[in-house]
Amino acid sequence: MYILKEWKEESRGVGIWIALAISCVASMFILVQSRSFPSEQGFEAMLLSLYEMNLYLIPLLSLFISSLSIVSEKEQKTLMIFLTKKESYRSFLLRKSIAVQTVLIGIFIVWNFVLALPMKFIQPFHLKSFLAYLLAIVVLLFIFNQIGIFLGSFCKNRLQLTGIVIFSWFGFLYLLDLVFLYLLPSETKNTIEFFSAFYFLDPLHTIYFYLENALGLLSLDHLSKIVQQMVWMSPTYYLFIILLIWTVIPFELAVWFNRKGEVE
Amino acid sequence: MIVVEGLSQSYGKKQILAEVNLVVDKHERCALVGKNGAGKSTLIHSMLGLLPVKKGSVVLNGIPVRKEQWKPFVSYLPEKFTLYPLLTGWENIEFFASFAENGIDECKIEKTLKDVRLWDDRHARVKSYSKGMLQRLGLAIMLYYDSEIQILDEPTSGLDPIGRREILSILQTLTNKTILFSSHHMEEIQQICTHVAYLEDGFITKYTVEDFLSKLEEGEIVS
Amino acid sequence: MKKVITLFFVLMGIWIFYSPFASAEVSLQQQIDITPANGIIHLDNKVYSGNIVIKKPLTIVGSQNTVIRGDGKNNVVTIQASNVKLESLKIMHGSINRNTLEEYAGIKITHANENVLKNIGISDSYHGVYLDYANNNLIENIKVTGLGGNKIGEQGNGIHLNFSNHNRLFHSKIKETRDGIYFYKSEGNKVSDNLVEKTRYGLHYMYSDGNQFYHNRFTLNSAGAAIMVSRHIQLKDNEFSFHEGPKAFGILMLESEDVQVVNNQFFHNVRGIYIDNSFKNKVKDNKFSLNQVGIEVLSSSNNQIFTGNRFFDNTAPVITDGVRSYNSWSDKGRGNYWGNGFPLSDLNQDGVGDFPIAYKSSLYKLLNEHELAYLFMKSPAISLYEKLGQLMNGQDIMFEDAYPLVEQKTSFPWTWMSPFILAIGACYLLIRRRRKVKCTY
Repeated sequence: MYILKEWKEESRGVGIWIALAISCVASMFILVQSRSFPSEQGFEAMLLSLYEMNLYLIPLLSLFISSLSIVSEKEQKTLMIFLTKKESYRSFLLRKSIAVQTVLIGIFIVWNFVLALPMKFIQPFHLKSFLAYLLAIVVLLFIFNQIGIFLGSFCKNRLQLTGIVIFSWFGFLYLLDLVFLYLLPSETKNTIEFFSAFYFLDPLHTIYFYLENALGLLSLDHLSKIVQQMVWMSPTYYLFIILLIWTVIPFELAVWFNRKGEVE
Repeated sequence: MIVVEGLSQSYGKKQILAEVNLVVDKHERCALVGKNGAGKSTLIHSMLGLLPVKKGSVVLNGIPVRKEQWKPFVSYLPEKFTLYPLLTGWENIEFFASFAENGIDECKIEKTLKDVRLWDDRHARVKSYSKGMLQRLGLAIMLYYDSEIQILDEPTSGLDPIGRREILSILQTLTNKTILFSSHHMEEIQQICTHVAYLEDGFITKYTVEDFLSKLEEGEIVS
Repeated sequence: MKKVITLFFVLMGIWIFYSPFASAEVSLQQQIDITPANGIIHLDNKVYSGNIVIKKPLTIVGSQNTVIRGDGKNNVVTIQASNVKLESLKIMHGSINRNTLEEYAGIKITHANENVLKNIGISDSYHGVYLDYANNNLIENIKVTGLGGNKIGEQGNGIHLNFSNHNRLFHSKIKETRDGIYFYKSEGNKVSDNLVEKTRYGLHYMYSDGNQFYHNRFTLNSAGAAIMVSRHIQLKDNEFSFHEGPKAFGILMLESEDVQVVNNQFFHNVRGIYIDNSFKNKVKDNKFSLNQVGIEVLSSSNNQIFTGNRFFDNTAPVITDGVRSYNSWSDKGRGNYWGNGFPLSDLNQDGVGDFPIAYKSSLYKLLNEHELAYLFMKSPAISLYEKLGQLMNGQDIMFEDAYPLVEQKTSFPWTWMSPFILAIGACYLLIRRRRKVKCTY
C-alpha cells in the first residue's frame, strides 16, 4: 500500500514531472552533441556524457523529492497516525524508504528505456553498456534517495529542509572535491590508502569509477603505480560497499535522531 | 484504560508537566482542558509514545506505552492534520484502513464514509475538501479503526459552528468507547463528556463535568 | 625353425611399426624446401606444424582455416628472403621467451625486402610481426592479438620495425599486445587505416624520421602515440580516443621536431597532445573534444604552431607549466576555435573574432605537482577551483590567441528529434486531460 500511495502522490504532484522534463531537455542536448562522437565506443561515450549530466540533476532532485516526502508526512500529521496505530519509526521509515525508492527508481528506469529509443538512431546500441549505465543511475538514485530520507527525518520544516538539501547537494558535488583538491599537495605515498578510503567513500567517485570501467573506457591493467595503490579492489566491490554504507548509515542515523527527539 | 502516573516532561529548563497523574476509566469520556501552552499536546504525545517518557509511566489498556502491543487498542487523531491532499477521500481511508487489524474492508469503508456524510465526495481529492469535510474524513478513519480507546486532539479546532455540530454528532455515535479529547469549547464538552481533566501549571485535576462547570462559574477555574 | 620364426616376427614388427605409406604427408618446411623459387604453395584447412624458415622467394596461400602452429621455442615463420608472399594464414604459438636477445615473433622478416604479408592472424607470440632491417615490405590486413590483461608486460609488440624503411602497414588490427606499433630507427614508412587498441603505447616511436600515419585509430590504450627523438613525421586524419589514466595522452611529442599533426580527432583522453622539449611542430585543424586537457605544452617546447584546431567540452583546453614559452596560437591570421567557453563576436563576419582571447588557469600547478589531480578533472569542483584561483590571483596565462576563430552555428536536428518532442508534448496533454476528467465528481 505504501508503494501505491507513494506512486499516486508523486505522479499527481508536479515535482517528479518537472524533474523528468529537465532531464529530458538536458538528455536531448547530450544526444545531439553525441552525433559527432566516433562510432566505436561512441555509444559508451554518450552514456558517460549522459551520466555526467545526471550527476548534477539526480542528486538534487532525489534529495528534494525523498526528503519532502518525509517532511510531508510530519506536516500532514499522518506520521503520528502511523506511529500510534501500527508502526514503529523504524518500520515506518523502512516501508517509506522502500516505497520512495521503488517509485522514483521505477520512474527513472522507464524514462531511460524511453531515452534508449532515440539513442539507437545516433550510435550503435550496446545492451551491456546500457545496463551498466542504468545500474549506475539506479545506485546514484538509491543513495541520494536514502540521504534525502535521512535529511527529511532530521528536518522539522520545509524551509529548514530546502537549506539543508541545497547545502548537501553543493557539498557532495563541489565542496568535497574542493577539499580534496586543496589537500592533494600534502598527500604522500604514505597516506595514499587513507586518501583512497576517503576518495571512494564519496559515492560520486565510486559510481563514476565503476561506470567507466564497466563501459570498457578505463582499464585496470595499465594503471600507474600510485593509482594502483589507490585501487585495491574491483570497481563492482567498491560499488557494493558504498551502496551498503550509504543505505545503512543514513537509515540508522534517521532512526536514532527520531529516538532522541520528538515527532512533531 | 488510560493510567498516567507521575509523568513529568520539560523542554530544556522549562517544566511543562510536573508529576501528572490521570486515570481515564473504561467507557469514560474525558475532556482535556487547559490554557494555550498548558501542555495538553505534550501530555497526549507522551501518552502515545510520540515523546520519550523519561520520568513517570503511562499504561494504555493495561499495556505500558513503552511496548508496542497497545497500538491495536488505540486510535489517535492529531490536531491540524491534512492527510494526503493529492489522494481522494476513498484512497486516504483505504490507505489507513490497511493498518487496521482486519485490513481493508471495502464495505466497512463505505459504511464509514456514509456515516460521516462523505460518500458522495469520496472520489474528490482531499485538497478540494473544506475543513469540515477534512475533519469528518479524519473521524471516518477513527470510526473505521473502531478502537477501544480514542484520543482526539482538538477535533473541532478551526471549524465554524455548523461544522462543529457535525463533528459532535459523529462523536456522539461513539458508544462503549473510552475517549480522551482536548478542547476549548465548553458546550461540546457538556454535550460529549462525562469528565474533565484540567491541566494547569503542569498538574492535572480531574472533575466531573458538573463540578468543573460550577467551579468555572464560581471563578475558581479560569479557562 | 627358430630362425624362421624369429625372422617372421622381425618382419611383422617392421611391417607394423614402419610403413612408407604412413608418413606420406610432407611437413610444411619440407614443402617449402622442395618448392622451387617463386613457386606457390596452397595450404589446406588444417594445422601445420611450425617453425618454418623461408629462404627463397615464394608464395604461401592458406585456406580459410589454415593454421601454422609453432613449437613455442622460436619464431613461427622466419623470412630471410625477398619477394616472399604469405596470405590467409593463422600463425600461433611462437616463443614468449623474454630472457634472450633474440626478439621472437609470429612472423619475423630479417634482412629481406619486398615481401607481402596479407590477411594473417597472429596470436600467442612474443611479437606479432618483427621487421629487422627489412625494407619495402607490405603488411596488410594483419590481425595481432596479444595476451592482454595483466600479462601485457610479458609480451612484445604488435608490429615492430627495427631499422626498417619504406614499409607499408595498412588495414591491420592490433589488440592487447605490449605496444601496438613500435618504430626504432626506421624511416620512410607509411602506416594507414590501422586499429590499435588496449595496448600500452599504441605507437611507440623513437629515432625514426620521415614516416607517415594516416587514418589510423588508436583507442583504449594506456597512451596513444609516443613520438620521441624524431623529425619530419606526418600524422593526419587519425583518431586518438579513450586514453585514460593519470599519465595518459593521445600524442606525446618528446624531443621531436617538424611533426605535422593535421586533422586528427582527439576524443575523451586525459590529454589530447602532450609536448615536451620539442620544436617547430605544427598542430593544425584537429578536433579536441571531451578531453580533460586538450593540449599540454611545457615551457621547454617552443615555436610550435597551433592553428585551426577545434576545442569543445574539454575541462581545460590548454595547460602549460606556467613558464612563458614561445609558441604561436595562430598562423597567418588564423587562430583556433575555442568553443562556448570563450564567447566571441564577429561583427565583420570574416570568421575571426573581433578581439584576441587569453586563457588563464590555476589548475596547471596542481596538475604538474600531483598525478592524482587528474582524478578530479571531471569533477564539477574544478570550475569552482578555477574561480577561487581567479579571485586569489593565482592564475597564469596558458595561451593567447590573437585571431580566435568563430564557429559556424550548427542547426538543431529537427528531422529526427521532432517525433520525440511531439511524443513528449502529447504525453503532457494527455496527462492534463486525464487530470481534468478525474477532478469531475
